[in-house]
Amino acid sequence: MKRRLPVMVALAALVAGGCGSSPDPKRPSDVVAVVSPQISTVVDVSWSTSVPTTGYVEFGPTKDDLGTRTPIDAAATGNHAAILLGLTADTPVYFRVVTSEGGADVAASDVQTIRTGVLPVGLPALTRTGDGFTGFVVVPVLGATSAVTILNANGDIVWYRTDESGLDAYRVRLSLDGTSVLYNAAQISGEPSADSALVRVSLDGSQVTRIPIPFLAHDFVEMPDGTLGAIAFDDMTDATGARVRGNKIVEVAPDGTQRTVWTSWDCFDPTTTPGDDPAQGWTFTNALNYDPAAGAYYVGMRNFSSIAKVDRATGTCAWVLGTYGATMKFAAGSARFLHEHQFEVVGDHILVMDNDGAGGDVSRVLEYQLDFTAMQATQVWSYMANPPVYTFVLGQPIRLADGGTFVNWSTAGQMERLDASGTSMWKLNSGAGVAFGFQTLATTLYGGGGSP
Amino acid sequence: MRSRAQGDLHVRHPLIVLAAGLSALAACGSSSPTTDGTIALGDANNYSTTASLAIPFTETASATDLDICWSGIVDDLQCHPVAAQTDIDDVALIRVSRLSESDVAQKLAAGTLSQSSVDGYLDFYTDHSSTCMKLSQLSFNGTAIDVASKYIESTSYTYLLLFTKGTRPGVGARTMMFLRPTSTSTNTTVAAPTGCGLLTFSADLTSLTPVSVPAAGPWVVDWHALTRDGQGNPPPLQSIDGLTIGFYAGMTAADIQARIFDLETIATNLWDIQLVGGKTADLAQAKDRATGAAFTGFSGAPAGTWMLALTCSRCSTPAPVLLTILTPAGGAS
Repeated sequence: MKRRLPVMVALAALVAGGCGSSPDPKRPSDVVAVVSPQISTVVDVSWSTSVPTTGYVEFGPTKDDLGTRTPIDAAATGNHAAILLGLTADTPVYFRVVTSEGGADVAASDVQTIRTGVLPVGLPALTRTGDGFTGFVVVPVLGATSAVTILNANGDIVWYRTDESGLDAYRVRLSLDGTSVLYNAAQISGEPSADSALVRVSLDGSQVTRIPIPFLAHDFVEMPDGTLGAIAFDDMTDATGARVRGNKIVEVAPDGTQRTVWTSWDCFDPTTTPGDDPAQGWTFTNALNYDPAAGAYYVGMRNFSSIAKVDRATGTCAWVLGTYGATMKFAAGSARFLHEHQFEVVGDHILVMDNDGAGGDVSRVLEYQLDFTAMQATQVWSYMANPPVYTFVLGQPIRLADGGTFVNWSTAGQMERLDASGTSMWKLNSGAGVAFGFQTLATTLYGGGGSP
Repeated sequence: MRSRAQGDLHVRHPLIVLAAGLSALAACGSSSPTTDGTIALGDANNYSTTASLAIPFTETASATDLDICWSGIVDDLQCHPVAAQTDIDDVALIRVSRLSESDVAQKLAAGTLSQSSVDGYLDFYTDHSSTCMKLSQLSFNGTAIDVASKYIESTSYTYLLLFTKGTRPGVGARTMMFLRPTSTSTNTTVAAPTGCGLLTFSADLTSLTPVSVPAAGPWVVDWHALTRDGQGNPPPLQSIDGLTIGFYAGMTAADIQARIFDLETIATNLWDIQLVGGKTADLAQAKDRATGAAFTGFSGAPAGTWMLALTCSRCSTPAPVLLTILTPAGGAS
């Protein structure tokens, strides 16, 4: 009851205000909502209060279901703004503005409505089967259509951007500060692009900032302090003058300063560790993760069929799991991965998208337990889709908090959510011609996304 | 995305062009504009179609390079003439996993092939100076196919060869065939079939409800309520990028239906709107395809049939998503 008292007081004040007394200076006024000109599924809301206050917008699909809230203003102000996220296209949304102080709602606007805009022609329609996934998927679509998207659990596009550079995006992330979407605009097919960049787009689409980094590869990460780390191609010449195409990790500090913190040559020698597909280059690094607690990168190298833990400070490799350059061995009976793409290190376990190791052009997810004393990886789980699918590149598994697993079979145009027993509960499929890049998952589109 | 590995097959749009045309039919009864003046287009107004493909196959040697020629293509799936050397811009090979040839044909005809069934796409841009190529010239962004490891006899794979106008993947197929790599075969030559006869397409226009339109504007059409395309599948609403109004002077719906592949060529006038998204359009924005003049309305036309189609230029099946008959108030149907 105590928690409700301020609300009751506020309601009483509202009633009083309606009976001829002075307007409540904390009551939101001049409420204006417009569909973002850049993103038709985003609504910009602005309002004012006569005195500095803090407030938020609650919104939903009906007047009686305003179940989603924007973050509350960071500081008291008389001129407020918020953006409504997670909306589907061409759909009415109901909302009201609430003034909230000290955790209590003290005034509110009337409920209003606005209809979101339509999606641009060509964005794909996806097919959902099953239930059990409740978050958002932040993912590029590739192929017949190239776009950066955020999907809801039904497969509806709730945020999008089409990059006009002619490059593709392979990884999309919500920025950790909750203000923007980050993606890499790059070219992995054929020669890498000198015009590649990391791109930051404000959530309402109004601000776009490009950070040029030549020859970007598939993946990048954001660190808690806002530093970005990205993999790029790195060419050197051997003793014969021939090109050796390795990779490097380039960091972009919040002030924009760029530095190379690691190259393939820091841990490997192309003469002794040549990899298995020189037509693709030497290491062909294709996946990057970061562990802030350890201050370490995890780097996937497709042509080595190996994954390395790289110390951010020194560039040394703490361990290498896989085939070429390996410092860890596979336990007897454990399957080996081949030409892997994304992976996830979870404690002393690692999940790996094994694109080619199963043979027969079928891909699978492998999970190993890592023994850092014996320097040995023991396979503890594997998963193939049913029916099996083949993602000849890309692909990413993520272990969920409930023990389930989210698997993105990228070029097969399929994502699925498994429960803790490994049973498929939910799938999204694309029509022919549409593939997915690497994904990140979010429980909310506010505050950086949360952890699924 | 890795592109240069031998044998990698492309993820781009791996489908085909079927045939389709525009069609029209007068029918009894009609739906009327809503009270706000919007002209609603729904399932009852939409035509129904059936499509099937009889795609021929050729057995060839497995894991062996092939000579592929298309000089025998003289017409397309709609039986329109084709000049093989100049009209065929692209030859594409799609490898489909875990679907039989009949399954692939059925899904292609219905436009329901899923990406999870497609594990590769390779193509070859023709130079218009020859009508032959090698299988090994197919590539993914310039990387040639590893014939020995990827073109193999297998019960898991179905290989579909497309000959297309234009180079956009999946669009503009003039003909197609299956390849069957077979270990006992020594055949290394492939001759493309001509397109006419591969596609059977029919439109049922007898049961649709024509749409009443006022003689004077505004004519804002709205297809929010549309839940099926001509074949009964969920419509690709996000991909509809064109609206066409057609007028056929002196023709009945039966006349038009009889020439369903020729609807654009037999129309007296066509007006188009290029759509950028959404589920509504103002017909006043339509432009005459021949002259660019704005659409002025339905008045003053001689006896004939009016038709409206919603189209999708990048869909695997270019048959109009919606095709209906317009019944102008006080005028021709």
